[in-house]
Amino acid sequence: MGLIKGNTKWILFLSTSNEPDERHVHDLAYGLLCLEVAGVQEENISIYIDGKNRQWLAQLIASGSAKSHVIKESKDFSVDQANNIHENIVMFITGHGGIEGIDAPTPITPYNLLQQIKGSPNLKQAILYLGQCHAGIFNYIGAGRRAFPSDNPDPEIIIIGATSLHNSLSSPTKEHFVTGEINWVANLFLLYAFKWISKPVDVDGDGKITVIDSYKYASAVSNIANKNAKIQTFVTALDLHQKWIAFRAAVQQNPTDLNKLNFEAASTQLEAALDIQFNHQECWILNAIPAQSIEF
Amino acid sequence: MKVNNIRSNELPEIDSSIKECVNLGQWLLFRSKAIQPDVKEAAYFLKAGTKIFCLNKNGKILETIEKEKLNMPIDELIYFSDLLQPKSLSNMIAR
Repeated sequence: MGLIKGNTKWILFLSTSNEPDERHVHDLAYGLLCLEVAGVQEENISIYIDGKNRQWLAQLIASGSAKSHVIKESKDFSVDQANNIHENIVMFITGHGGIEGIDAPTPITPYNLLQQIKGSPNLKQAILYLGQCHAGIFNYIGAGRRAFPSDNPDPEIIIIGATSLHNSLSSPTKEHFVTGEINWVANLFLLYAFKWISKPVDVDGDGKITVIDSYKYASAVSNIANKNAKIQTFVTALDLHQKWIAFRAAVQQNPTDLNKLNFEAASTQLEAALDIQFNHQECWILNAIPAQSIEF
Repeated sequence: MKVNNIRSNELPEIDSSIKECVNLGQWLLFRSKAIQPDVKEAAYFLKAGTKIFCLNKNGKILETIEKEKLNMPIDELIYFSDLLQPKSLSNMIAR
């Protein structure tokens, strides 16, 4: 039985040591929308988002679903996994990341995440999609099922990363949500992973819709989107730089609230354009052999 | 939470670079009846990074508000219909 009809827990995860960025919450709201389009039942979806403003988070997430979803905090994840009853988990992680791991009240290291999942009772396999920057620190770890002891096998873990040891890339998009069209700066890799789940493509042509197809699709299409964004922002970055110079001069001469805000707006746009120009994203998959046979 | 598109001349007191950040999804512009700012004529709220600004009906900056007040419902998300908005990345095809 495939993951969607099977005994699978679908996890949308955003941990943070501060307040979450709205764009990351939108990433997960869009994921929620796509999971429900794919036919995942609401009781099989678990959402973990850190942040003090719970009502605000609930409202942003509600843009992805007309159904009521409980939003837990990242600290609840380990408790839930210790009481796991699902054979499979599929987990999508957005937010910030770095050399210390995934940003969280206590940063989540590759070893900690691996141990939590490997130690989940009843779990046979887990597929993790990592969208955060420097996701590659979660590569080259012991994700595969151990050969021994054969009478008590540990879960098979497949990890798919948006990028290796670089920043991950996000671009502005406009997508249709339950509440209408919303504009946000989307994590490109997760956006296309979610899109694939809502409308899967058999990329390798083997007649099966498998995890490896999702990896190939999300990687290739996010790279195309990235290339197109680089072309588009090359010229606009030059214009944005001129604007940035003008607003900097204005704020130096007359530091009003409006001039400061204009300068901040120009800085935000220029930095976003330069991020696209100078970042390289290379997606990866760990434990690719079982990924070829696990079907959605 | 409704999504509402208004014309940019409805908020003449803020410049286009600010409105572009809103349209690109980098900043959030919204209305909320539940937020009670100290300045009564606040009509819009702009979340720019970690700061939240109260704007009057013309977009003039009135004050910044505390982050705690953000735990309130958004009645309307606002975009500008006559300024550039991002194209959906759903429409992109491999080439």
